[in-house]
Amino acid sequence: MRIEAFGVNHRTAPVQVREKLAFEEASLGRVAARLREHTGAPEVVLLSTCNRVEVYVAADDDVEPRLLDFFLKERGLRPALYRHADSEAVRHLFRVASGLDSMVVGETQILGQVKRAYLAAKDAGCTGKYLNKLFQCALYVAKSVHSNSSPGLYSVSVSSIAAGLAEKIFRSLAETTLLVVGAGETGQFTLDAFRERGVRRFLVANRTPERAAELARSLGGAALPLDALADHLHEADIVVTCITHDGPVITRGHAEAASRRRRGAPMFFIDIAVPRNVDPAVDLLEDVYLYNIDDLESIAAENLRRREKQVARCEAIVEQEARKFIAGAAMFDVQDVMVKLRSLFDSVAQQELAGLKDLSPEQRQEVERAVRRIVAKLLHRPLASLQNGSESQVAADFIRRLFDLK
Amino acid sequence: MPELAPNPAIPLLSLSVLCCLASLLLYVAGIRNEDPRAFRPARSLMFVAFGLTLAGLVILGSARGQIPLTSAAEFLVAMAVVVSIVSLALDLTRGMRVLTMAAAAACFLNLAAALPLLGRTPEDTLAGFWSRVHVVVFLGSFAALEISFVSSVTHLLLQRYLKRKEDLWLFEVVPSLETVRVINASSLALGFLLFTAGLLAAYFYARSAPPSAGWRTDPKIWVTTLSWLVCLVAVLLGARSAFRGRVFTAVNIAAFASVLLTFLVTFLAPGFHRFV
Repeated sequence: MRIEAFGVNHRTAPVQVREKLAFEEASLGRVAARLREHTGAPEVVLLSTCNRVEVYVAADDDVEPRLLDFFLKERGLRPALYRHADSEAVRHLFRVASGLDSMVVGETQILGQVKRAYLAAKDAGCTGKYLNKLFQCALYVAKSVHSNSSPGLYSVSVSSIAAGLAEKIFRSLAETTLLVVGAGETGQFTLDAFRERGVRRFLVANRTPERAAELARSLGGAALPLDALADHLHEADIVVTCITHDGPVITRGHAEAASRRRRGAPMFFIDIAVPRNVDPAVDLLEDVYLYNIDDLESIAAENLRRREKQVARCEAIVEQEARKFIAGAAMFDVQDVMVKLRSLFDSVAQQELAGLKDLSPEQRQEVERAVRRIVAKLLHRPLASLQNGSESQVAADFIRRLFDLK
Repeated sequence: MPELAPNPAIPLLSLSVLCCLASLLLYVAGIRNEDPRAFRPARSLMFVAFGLTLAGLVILGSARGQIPLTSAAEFLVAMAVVVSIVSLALDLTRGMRVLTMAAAAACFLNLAAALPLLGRTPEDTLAGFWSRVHVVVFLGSFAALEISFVSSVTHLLLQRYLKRKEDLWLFEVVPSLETVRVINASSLALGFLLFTAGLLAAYFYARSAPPSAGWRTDPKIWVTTLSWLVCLVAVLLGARSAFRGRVFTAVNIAAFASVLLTFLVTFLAPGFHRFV
């Protein structure tokens, strides 16, 4: 029996293809059952998220042509599926469940999605000992990865780093006021990061008042003329500047006056403009923190280094667990043969014992004990060599054929 | 001093010392490896240490049939209980992990110092209602001032980290700058109030003593009064500067150091507090 993974993900297929192939989470069990019937694979699990559609199968023969047929019949297209077999399929699922194959590396949402996909297939009767073992192991590995490392903690985008820094200064971003100087695309992008983190009060200052008013309206904030900036600076806890301007828009004098009016409450300036909008001397003031684009990018580089370190740690865990699983999986067939061989011998013994009619209960007990001992002794050597032999798999195949074990 | 029968609290407190040490090592490993996942087991170990220390303290009290605050060893164990519970509470509610880390170190030192003393005959140092109130309130004050001290240093470090714009890893073990400031302000205010209450309780106790006891010439009483003045300066300065800035931090550190000194001299130089 081979374990294989087929699918498309955010790296191999555009969203137009992925959305056509995607299935609703509630229907995963039913679709897995149809897939099982169509492909003839004994075990099937279907995983469908916004970034991937994957089919995991345990089958003796090649199911890819029938799988492609299924997609053609169900979704009207024959996608270019990637294919991972045996150890590669195991590694792939472990990486997927651990979030290492995700668009945002280290995210944990996928773990729940994998678990639900597996349970849906299991409830629909589409899993057996191979995929049960594989998915249970994948869920365990993913939990182990998440509890030993955290690559998702490290932001590498400038806007989310800026918002993260603000969270390190203020008690709650929901209670802060953000002033954005410049209503261009860059400012909008940074604003989105702050809105996601809970900022609710906005002030917008721009050279073009109409554009400022438009952006302020969309944010539910207030617009300011650029020349009134100094008078309103103290109202803002966080100031994002991203306007094209000759010379600084905010001088040390402006910031000093604002800080005084705020009685030393901290202010956070994020200057993402080039040339810079905030006088670097502002950073010399106590309780005023100024980060320019270089500062943010150097934090991004540091976070990237940390993320890579964490990812390497996760990959090592995945690799170690995948090796363990693969080594264990090689024994699946052997154990299966061992169980079947023993039950064959037991059933023959039982049949013969059933034929003995003229025995007293004591004699029957004695004969049964003797027969059990004989069966155990006869099987001891072959079973031991199956379990410990270097060519267990070959021996198991031979025994299966010899005794016609189904 | 004569040796006593094995104290049943010693195994529990020994285990607690090991938990504190393991917790501290986990915190250090988490910081060194830049892996915040190590902090959760470290905190769990401190919970275990707290439970063991509390159980040890209860056993100490029940063995002697009185509140376990009458000997140096019992003071140290009680202090470990107070420091660990307050730190864990602030860790859970405010994300102040650094406090639990500091508590792990403080409890390790307290318990390691207390253990050798527990094998000996306890020496009663307290008698009377006001004397016990004085000690209990002072323990609370010490815990609050320790939190204020850690918060104050943390606030200063956070400010420096934010200004340097380099490694912001410290933020993984502490909440935001403003939260640290609020913790600092409230713990300093509470610590000062308890300190004042502790001094008043000591005054009532001293009044009941005969004039020949000579409490007015006791060096520790003067050192404690001086510490109270340093704390008062820290509170006033903090109120003026919204509990921010280098000068405030320096005075806050001095306040904690002086309170620590008043606490330690009682054990290090017994003759220093001859009135008791």
